[in-house]
Amino acid sequence: MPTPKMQELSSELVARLREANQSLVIASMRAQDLQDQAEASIERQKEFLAMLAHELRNPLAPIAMALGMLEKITPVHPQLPYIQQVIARQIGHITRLLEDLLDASRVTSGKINLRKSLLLLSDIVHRAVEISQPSLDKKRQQLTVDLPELPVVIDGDAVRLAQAFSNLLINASKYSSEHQPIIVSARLEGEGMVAVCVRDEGVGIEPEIQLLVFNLFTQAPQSLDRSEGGLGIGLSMVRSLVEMHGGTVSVHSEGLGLGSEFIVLLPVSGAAVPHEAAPAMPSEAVRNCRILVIEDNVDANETLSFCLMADGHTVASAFDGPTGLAMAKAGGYDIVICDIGLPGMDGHEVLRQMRLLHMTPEPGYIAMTGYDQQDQSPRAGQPGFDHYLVKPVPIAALQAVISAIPCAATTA
Amino acid sequence: MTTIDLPLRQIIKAELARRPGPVADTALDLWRKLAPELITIIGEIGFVALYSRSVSLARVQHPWIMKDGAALTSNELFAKLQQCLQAKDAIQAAQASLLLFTIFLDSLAALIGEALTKHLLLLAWNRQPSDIQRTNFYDE
Repeated sequence: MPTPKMQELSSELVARLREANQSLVIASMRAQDLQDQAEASIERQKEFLAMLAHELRNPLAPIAMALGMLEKITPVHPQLPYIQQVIARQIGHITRLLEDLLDASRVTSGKINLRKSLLLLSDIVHRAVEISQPSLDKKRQQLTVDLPELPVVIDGDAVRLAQAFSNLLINASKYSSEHQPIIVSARLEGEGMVAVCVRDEGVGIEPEIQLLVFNLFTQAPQSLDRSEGGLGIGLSMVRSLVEMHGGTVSVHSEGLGLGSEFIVLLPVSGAAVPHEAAPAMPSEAVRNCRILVIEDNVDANETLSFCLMADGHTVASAFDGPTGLAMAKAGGYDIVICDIGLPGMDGHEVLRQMRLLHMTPEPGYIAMTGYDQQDQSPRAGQPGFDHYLVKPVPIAALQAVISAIPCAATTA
Repeated sequence: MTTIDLPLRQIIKAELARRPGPVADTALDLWRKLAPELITIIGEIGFVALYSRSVSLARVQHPWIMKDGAALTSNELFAKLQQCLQAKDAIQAAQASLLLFTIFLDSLAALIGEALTKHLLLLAWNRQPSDIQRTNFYDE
């Protein structure tokens, strides 16, 4: 029989245990609440970054267009070509940074869709070398490519894999000194995998940093002037893209000053070597189309119109959806170039109502937007635009799209 | 200790479906039986903290579940829940009740383990494992 004293001690013990449990539950709930808040905050920051990148592309469009126009003007001052080159380089730089930001946003929100086909590893690597060559040239670095003699076939997205390998090459270049060698090599591994290594003799990576280099917005310590630039997105993109292809990426470095080696393992396809399609011959016909530009950004609208007129087209402008629709109703346009984010009526609604007009012949519809095509797909059950171009659109890309659209009204 | 293989969610569904009458009354009866068992282990404040977080998470799908004020007792919180459930139709009330119980018990299981959680649940609701039937009483 327990004595009253023992019962008292037992009750006291139970009460203390209950109090301890209570404190643990409260602490646990509080920790989970804080984690939720932190995750929500990170989510908001990601959304903000994505929106910022989208929005910054809008003013870039007219700047790039204006530069295209400048290049067509006969130089009146000897320094004009130099100034044009400076602007072109900086526009290219900003565009790349924005693309990186958007890629980071796409990866974290799972919006990257792979367009897979059978590819030769050698083609992917050569494309990556082509992309990264300017970085290598700038530092006069010697690149050695050592690939297996037999063709290695990968079932993957050509653009995204080239992006992954070019990111590794650009990274190797960035963290190597002038004239230092960089080697990209590949060898077949067991279990149907191929290992592609990008090796440099650059600054190297400390062991504790090696665990973090594939995290988003993580960069190795660098000089105060941030001369290497970048946002710490490239390696995170590499890991995401490689994993989306069923592969892995790892890093090895003996330490600071001892170079780095990045190893990408990708599954090899058992399919036959893909045949390369013959490239389409570009059309050389010069045409004069009647084009309606619907764009609310006045600078973007005007510079685009000037560029199109400089190419010999006849251009009319509208600065909002309803006006654009009213002008289209009057008819006579071969091509309608329309922004998506328009005041009054967005680009999708403008397109929907234009298609209801059943114009003959039907104009070619081009969407030009600061947003990605996949983010701007047409509403359910509606046909989309014939072409989507993402700002800032290079003049050559726009010209290529225009040349593919039949120009019924006037052709030269 | 009694063991049971059924998932927590299945146990809750079966118990909610077992009793005739308004869902709000059934749910409240189950909460009122469960609370004392847990309060003896984690205290009133611990129970309220766990319940309040569960309500916050359930509100993502059912925003009409009233957000609890600070420093309420478990009985006051249950009375608020009953008001909310009574204002909704049977299907909405049943779905919200199932979700709230599931979140609460999953959180509890994360703290003390699933086996102990199930044991406490059957003890509180005075059930044997054999009592729990695989019942679907509404479409989720």
